[in-house]
Amino acid sequence: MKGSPRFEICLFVIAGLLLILPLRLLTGVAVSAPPDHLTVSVSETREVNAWVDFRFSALPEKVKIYQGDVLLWQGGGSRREDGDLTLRLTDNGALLRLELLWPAELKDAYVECSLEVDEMSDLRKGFWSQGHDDQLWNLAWEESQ
Amino acid sequence: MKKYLFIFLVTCSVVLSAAEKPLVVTLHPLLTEMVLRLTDGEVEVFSVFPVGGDLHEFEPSPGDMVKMQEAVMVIAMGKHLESYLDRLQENLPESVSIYEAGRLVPSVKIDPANAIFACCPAHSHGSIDPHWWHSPLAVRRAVRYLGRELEKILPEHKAEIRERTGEVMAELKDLNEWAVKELAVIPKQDRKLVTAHAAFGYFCVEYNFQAIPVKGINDERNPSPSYLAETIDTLKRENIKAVFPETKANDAILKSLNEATGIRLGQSLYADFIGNADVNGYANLFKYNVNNLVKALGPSPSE
Repeated sequence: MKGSPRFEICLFVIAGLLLILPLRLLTGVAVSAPPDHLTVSVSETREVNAWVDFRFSALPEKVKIYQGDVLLWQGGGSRREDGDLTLRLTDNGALLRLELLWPAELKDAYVECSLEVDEMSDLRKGFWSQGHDDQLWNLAWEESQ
Repeated sequence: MKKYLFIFLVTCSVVLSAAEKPLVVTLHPLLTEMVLRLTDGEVEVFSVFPVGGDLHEFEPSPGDMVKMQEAVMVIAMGKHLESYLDRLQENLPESVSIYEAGRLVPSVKIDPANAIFACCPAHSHGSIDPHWWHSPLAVRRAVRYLGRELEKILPEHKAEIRERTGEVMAELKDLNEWAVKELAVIPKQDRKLVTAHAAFGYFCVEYNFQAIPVKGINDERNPSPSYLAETIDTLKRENIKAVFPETKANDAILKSLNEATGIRLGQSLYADFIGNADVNGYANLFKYNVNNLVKALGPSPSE
């Protein structure tokens, strides 16, 4: 057996397999998950603390603030409402949805809303509202902030 | 005998309850005022800032340091106004936190063109203007943040602090609205605020003024004749209606400017909001500044 070509071929194949297997694994990992420094970040998202302040010309039944499907804050039953909330900024901006519910008999109410995000300038919005109202609020700050 | 025993017990309870109050140390009179308003006696407040002191020169004394080591919180104005804060933190036990009231207020940067007019070397060359208190809305924010911090050290009084914070914030909003209304009489072309140094950035942004700091108006050293001539040219070119010294004005220079240009001298403005026996308290100092601006830049009674 010793020195037979068949034995040498077997040893060669086994050694080859032992080398190929880790190489495959290594190359496979490289393809499925490139190192972090090779990935390109398309947009920067961060969580920020904010404070919202509402003034209503009439008494709303409900006020809710959503970001996507996430309910960030809710209030209602007062002409002045304020509260702390946490929202996600993507590329220094965010899209919020304000959901307001007014008494059915109310014709129109004016809403003043201001939002203060830590270290960023105030944003303000004013609008007329009635019934079951959905308002989109596109928050955007200058890049330097 | 019973009467004396009663007085003794009451005195003891007052002394003990005072001793139990957490100690908060403040580095500016505005902070002292706000902490007192928000806590209504629920903390002991110690102000280290001396009467008549210079905000940009002040550093706490060894005696102040001893007091700070006993505190639960040291409150600074922040935005690099207190350039000694890092050294201060190193010398305080970990249990004492330094809270910077203006840290989360949106910053106004000193215009690079005006960097040489910054109040001191630490605040020059495109850095952040630390005088955030010139905007009542910035102060309103700082009060909200301060209220939340005080709630953490007094959780049993959270509801009361939240209510008082709301009251002070509402007053500051009213103060801003008052200022907008008062300043409305100043025409756009006269909204130029000529002061000694670039300390009114937040005011100018809030109320749509152009800041024109003129080095030398407040300087204790006398400027050279060529610098004075250059300053006079600038004031004439910009059609300046009035110049405003700050509370430590150099009268000789002001007189020269006044004689050479005929430009009105406004009353001194409080840049650092360090009050005195005549004018004190945040709202009064702010109103004093606004009233002086309106008096000097607004239409004269004959207009």
